[in-house]
Amino acid sequence: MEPDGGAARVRGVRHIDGDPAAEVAALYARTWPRLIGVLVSIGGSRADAEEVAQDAYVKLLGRWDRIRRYDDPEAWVRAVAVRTLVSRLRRQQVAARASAKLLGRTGEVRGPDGDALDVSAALARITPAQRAVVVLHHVMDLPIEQVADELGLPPGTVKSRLARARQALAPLLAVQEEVPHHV
Amino acid sequence: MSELRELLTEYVDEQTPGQAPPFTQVEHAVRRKRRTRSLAATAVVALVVGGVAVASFNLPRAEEEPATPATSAPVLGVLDDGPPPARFKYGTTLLILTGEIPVVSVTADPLHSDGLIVEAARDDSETCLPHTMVRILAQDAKTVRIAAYRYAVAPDQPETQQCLKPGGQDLRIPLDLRWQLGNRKVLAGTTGNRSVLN
Repeated sequence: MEPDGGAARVRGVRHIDGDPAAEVAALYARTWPRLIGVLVSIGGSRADAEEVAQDAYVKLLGRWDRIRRYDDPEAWVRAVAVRTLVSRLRRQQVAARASAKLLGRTGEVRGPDGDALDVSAALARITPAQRAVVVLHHVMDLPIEQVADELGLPPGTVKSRLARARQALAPLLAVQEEVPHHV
Repeated sequence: MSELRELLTEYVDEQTPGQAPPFTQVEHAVRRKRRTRSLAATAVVALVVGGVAVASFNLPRAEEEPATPATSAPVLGVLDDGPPPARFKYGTTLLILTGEIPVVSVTADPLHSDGLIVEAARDDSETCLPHTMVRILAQDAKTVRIAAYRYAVAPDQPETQQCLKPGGQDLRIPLDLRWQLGNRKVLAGTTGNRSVLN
């Protein structure tokens, strides 16, 4: 699923000139590393992250004429990549659950034994969809509305996923959870 | 909460590579995609041209009155799967068509605008082999007709692997329509007009 114009937070129309490939290449060089960091943190393997990111940039290049009019093409490419990855992880989780049932294993991560889990293990305890909202909101500093736009979700869903994720992560990472009034 | 933010940001920083690989990788992927599309388009054109050639060969001569009004087959028709094969081999195991089964439900694939997710009941047997096939029987600009079929391992086939059924849930089978789904109505079954989507 690709984001619509709203997902990219259209704020204005850019002046259009130059070579599309060169423009996308410049955007790619600037945004690819952080996108990989985000995708790996959401739970993708490095290979998955690179594949999903490459597909997103391929789509971007094919639609550059339209997307370069957005104020924030980076948001568009991130939205495509994150949505694709979350869907892929969901499918993998369903398969893993089925496999766990077959093999009689739970596949759960152990809770902390006094010490905090590392961030990777803690993130593994929440769903890919929750990881996506946590990373986009807390790390990428995107406001709730933009996270909702990029993931194609109602803001209320983003808020509840964020709250559940924080509730789950705070004890695992041994941090104090402050529940803001607006979430 | 800032502590959580710091931990997460530090973690994402650790996962963030120093620089992007060369952009030529993306350009190569675009070229590969274009080549694949071009090949697919060529195949479709070849099929259409072939169909037109066959149709022309069978056309009555100009001085003759056509027996029935001429109809043109929709181009989309070349994208159909057609009826299911009576048998197919999976590895060395022969599977035989046992019959059509009901389509439980159909949803648009959220990832692909030209895809469907078709749900059909899982087989009672405990075979690990693919035992269900979904086919596009026909499609045009307004409707898509699909059907699901069940296959069984042919008698005397050496199937040693047995699987436990994962929860008995319905199978979810992705189906590539090779054409935008749009608002087209999806009908399930070889016959009848059971609409399962749109």
